[in-house]
Amino acid sequence: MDISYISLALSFLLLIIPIVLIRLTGLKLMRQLLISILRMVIQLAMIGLVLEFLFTKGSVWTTLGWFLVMIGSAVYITYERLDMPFRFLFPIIAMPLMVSSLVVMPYLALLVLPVNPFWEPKVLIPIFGMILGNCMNGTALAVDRFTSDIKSNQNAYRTWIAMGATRCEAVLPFFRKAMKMALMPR
Amino acid sequence: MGLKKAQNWFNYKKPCLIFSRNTFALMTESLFSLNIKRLYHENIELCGAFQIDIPTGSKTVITGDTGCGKTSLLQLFNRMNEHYDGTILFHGQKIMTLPIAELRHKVIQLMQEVFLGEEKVEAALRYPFTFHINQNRKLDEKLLKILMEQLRLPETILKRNIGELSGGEKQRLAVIRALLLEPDILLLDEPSSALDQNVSSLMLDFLLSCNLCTIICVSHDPRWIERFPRNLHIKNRTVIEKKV
Repeated sequence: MDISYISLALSFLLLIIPIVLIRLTGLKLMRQLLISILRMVIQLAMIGLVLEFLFTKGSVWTTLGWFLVMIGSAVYITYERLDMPFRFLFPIIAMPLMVSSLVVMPYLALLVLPVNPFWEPKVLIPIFGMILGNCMNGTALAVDRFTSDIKSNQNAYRTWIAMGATRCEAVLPFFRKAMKMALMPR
Repeated sequence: MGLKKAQNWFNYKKPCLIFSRNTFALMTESLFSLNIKRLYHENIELCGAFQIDIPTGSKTVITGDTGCGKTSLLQLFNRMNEHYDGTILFHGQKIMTLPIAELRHKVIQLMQEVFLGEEKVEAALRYPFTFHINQNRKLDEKLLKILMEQLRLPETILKRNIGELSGGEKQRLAVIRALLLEPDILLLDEPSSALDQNVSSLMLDFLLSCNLCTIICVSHDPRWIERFPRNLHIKNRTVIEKKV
């Protein structure tokens, strides 16, 4: 089922809401808004083309390849969002995303979802998108909480270090708090 | 009265020596000997060349004007500050060759701003015993009881939340927690800054009579400085020993 051109045009009418708000509040965001609208249109058109190819002519390999692209951009986006000086955290950010891809996705595709073939892109790609999205949020929240906690509680960290704790032991309380935050149902 | 009782009790435990594999270390008198050529902080020179010996069981106060490098000097002993040229020996061994956690559980520093934890007092006192370095040790309940008595803290305080405590209570508990780990040396950074006069003199009497470990303390408080038997004064970028 395709959306007609008229419906597509109607969807653009929704943009009146932010435009009116920007006008009313006198914010100088109009230029940025227009640029991002343009970017959205181009991005969606390109993604549409790729997805159409994947859904109609795709194989197990093209689907896997697309998963890699999704993981790569998810890691990149999470990393950018955190704007951290800690380069060494990069593998830590990539890890949960990798686990979700290498464990959760195959589990769902092979054992849970009644799809045939097992790599059916129409089903797997949207589900993978949702899993990655959730994962990105959880990871970003946990890492952000962890680093900001350490920054604002240096005294606690130094107290434990000065009593013979290893670095890992000294940050363990912060780690626990961050994990609690990430695992808490939202 | 209280002081005498403290002395009787404190004598029952002698400062213990670790690193027994180094028999030479057991024969040396000084716990620490520093031979520093230069002490600096972010490329600014704080002190030129100096030599210090810290004998086992001694009580030393470090004095000097604000920003002259008192804390930097204090933190040389536990490698919290490594901005120096020279050598530091602990029990005759270079501290740079010792595992850092092993050094720091024998050379405990209390931060200027006391941090105990976020839960109950008792949990906070037990927390350092969960560290790997302390895995074979247990909190000595008898010692805890005696230390609390000496520092006039009621036993009920163990059940209280840390958030409810006063600055003086926190400071005393921090000292108790450090001593429960039986360090060779205790480093204190301005311990009297948050204390009222009564608690301050109680703490001072306690520290001076404590035979559990060697003590080095940074202080501005004239009442503290005059009572310490040994005073290392930092002035004009040198460390001089003031005779008291």
